[in-house]
Amino acid sequence: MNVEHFKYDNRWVRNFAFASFLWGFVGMLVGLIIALQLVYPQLNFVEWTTFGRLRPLHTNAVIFAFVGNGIFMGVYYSLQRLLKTRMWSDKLSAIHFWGWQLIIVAAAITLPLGISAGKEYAELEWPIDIAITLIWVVFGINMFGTILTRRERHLYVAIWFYIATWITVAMLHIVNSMEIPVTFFKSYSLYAGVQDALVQWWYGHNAVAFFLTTPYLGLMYYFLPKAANRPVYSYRLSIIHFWSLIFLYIWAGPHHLLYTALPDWAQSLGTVFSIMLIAPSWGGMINGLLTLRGAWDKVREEPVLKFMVVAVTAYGMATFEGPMLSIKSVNAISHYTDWTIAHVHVGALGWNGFLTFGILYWLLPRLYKTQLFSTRLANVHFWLGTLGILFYVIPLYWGGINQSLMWKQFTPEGILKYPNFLETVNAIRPFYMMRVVGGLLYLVGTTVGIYNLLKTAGQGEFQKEEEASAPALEKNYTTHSNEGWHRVIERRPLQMLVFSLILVAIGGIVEFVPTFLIESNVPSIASVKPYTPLELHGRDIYIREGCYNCHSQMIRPFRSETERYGEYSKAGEFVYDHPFQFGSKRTGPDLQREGGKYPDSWHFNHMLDPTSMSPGSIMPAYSHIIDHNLDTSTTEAKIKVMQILGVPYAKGYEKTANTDLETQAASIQANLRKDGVKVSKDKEIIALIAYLQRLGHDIRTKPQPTSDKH
Amino acid sequence: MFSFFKRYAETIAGVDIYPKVSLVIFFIFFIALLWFTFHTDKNYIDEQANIPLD
Repeated sequence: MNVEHFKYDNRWVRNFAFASFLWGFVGMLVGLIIALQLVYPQLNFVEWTTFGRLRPLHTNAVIFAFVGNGIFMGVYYSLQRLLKTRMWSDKLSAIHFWGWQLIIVAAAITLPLGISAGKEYAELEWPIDIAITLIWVVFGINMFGTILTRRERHLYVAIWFYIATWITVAMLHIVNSMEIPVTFFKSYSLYAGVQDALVQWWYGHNAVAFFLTTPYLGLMYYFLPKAANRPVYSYRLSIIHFWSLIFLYIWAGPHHLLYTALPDWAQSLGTVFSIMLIAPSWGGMINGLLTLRGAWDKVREEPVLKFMVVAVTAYGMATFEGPMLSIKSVNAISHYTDWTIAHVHVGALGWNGFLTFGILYWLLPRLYKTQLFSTRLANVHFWLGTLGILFYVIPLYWGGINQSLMWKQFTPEGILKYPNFLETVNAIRPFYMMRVVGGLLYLVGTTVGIYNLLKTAGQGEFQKEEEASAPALEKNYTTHSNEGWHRVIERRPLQMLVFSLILVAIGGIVEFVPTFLIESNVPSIASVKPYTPLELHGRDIYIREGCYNCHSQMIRPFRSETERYGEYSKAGEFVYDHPFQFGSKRTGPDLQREGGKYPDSWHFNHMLDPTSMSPGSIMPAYSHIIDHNLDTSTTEAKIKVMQILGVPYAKGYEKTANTDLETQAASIQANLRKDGVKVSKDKEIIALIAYLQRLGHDIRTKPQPTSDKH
Repeated sequence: MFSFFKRYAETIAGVDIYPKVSLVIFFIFFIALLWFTFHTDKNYIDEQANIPLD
């Protein structure tokens, strides 16, 4: 047998590892800041650091910078060893690493500037979307090059998870980022309203599935057996885990849109598949935990295993809770509240955070051929992190449920017990403060961990190249006559890729095709008209400021909501909304029927200082919108793109749109002057007021006393 | 852009075929998955499980 000698490339593993914990620190710090802003709104400081702009920075940093680099670290380390070969191309590894970091830097600059596509976890604008696609392709070529030049014929289960991750994230990112550019920093989503919402939550849900879950399950299947020094509990279970997980996950997206204007059958599909997801998820969790059979004594001493056990347990908790939240009657309570925030942090802090640090504590001593600098500090990190998670999630569960019940509470006379939304916000502010304490504990733990890891690196010597040897793969492989279907596909990575793509595409197609193609799914409403040019500009300011992070535009058909906000939302109302702005959280009240509720001057004063109109409000002040002039040079381009998207502006309207804009601005200015507010009509605030006053205008009916639908 | 999609809208008869098709796909998929997984050779499974520890 011809034994070949080669070297594993540790350089990029190390770089991704450092990038992961350094960006992780930044992402968590921004998280802590926005958590504090909810308690002390004066911490919003300037326009670039308002909650609506920093919250996307936090989510994007944690998902794509912290976890993203964590994925690449784990993949680059385990892929080489599982396949007994060096990464295919050092050059592609370098392009992948630096390209990804540049994308992160671009995100960190553009998001605070308010350059946003307005869709959660997909806020980055089109030039960055293209860069992400290119770098993702580089990663794919490097991974497949490695797989195709391997010295181990069979692909271990971890690699299937990597392959499915790669192809599915590519599909999700491309489909959801379909947008038409208006300028270099602005684009409109190809889809509108309910359809955009369906695509977005198909993406959003599966970003959790295929960015935060499947790659980390791959890492679990490699690093947990390594750390415990025993094979995975059941390899058969891992096969079932893999195929059923990727098959089921993709269908579950509509559970983010329960009770919304999305067609009912799509909602039910989302619920059913979400509940079925418990089976593969718990199969995976049990497989992970039982891998430690007979090694539980090690868990007492080994920080690596402690982190991993809590991570896998958190995975189990989050994947039980997720399906529960997908049941409509539970979702009726949890949706729009901090319960959801608590739920995702069990996943992010527990599953992703702890698995990342478990792997880092195992990996860095090996990369630097040394011992961990301090086991004691690792234990300190473990306890700070664990307590941090508990102090973070418990107050938010409590506060979230508390607030939701207050929203739904009626007096015996049948009127809302807490008609003032702010009352319900102020009731949970103490819980927000407790959450800050939890987040702080977790961040201190992370800091201790980073110190420990840097010290470990400092005391060792970096093994940039690692000698290895393995027999070459025989060219002519004789198959066994009775080998199963799965053995064949395990040898054939490209077929595996195609098969995974087919599986994940089925769910998307079944949901998309009817929603997009059957008219009765989005009944049109004759009175719904396209936005005026001024309103369109106002809407773009709304998106730029990230208002959707705290305000929904989706009234569910509950009496408690129609009493508070007005008529419930209809699918046909959103047909010109590129992108949709349903929102997913109500830190402030729903805005879909905001138009006409208050005079223009109320909005002006409210933006200048929210507490002047709503004492005790935690909304940031938006004086910069009053200072900035509206850029009307883009009106023509905006109308043109909308026409391409099928919004029925009259032919040639783009040329005269600014005239209409001026007229409408003048009338709002006159309204404001009547109430004693003097402001120039070319300020951004005028456009924002126009948009806010338009909301709900098209089907304005007095809130009807509806029968209790719920 | 999407207006041309609308032409096809009427040609799709009934959404009810979708759940039926999905149920069949599912049923076959999971039965096949379980069947093949439990008919895989034990030695082979052990070999695979030990790849990371080699």
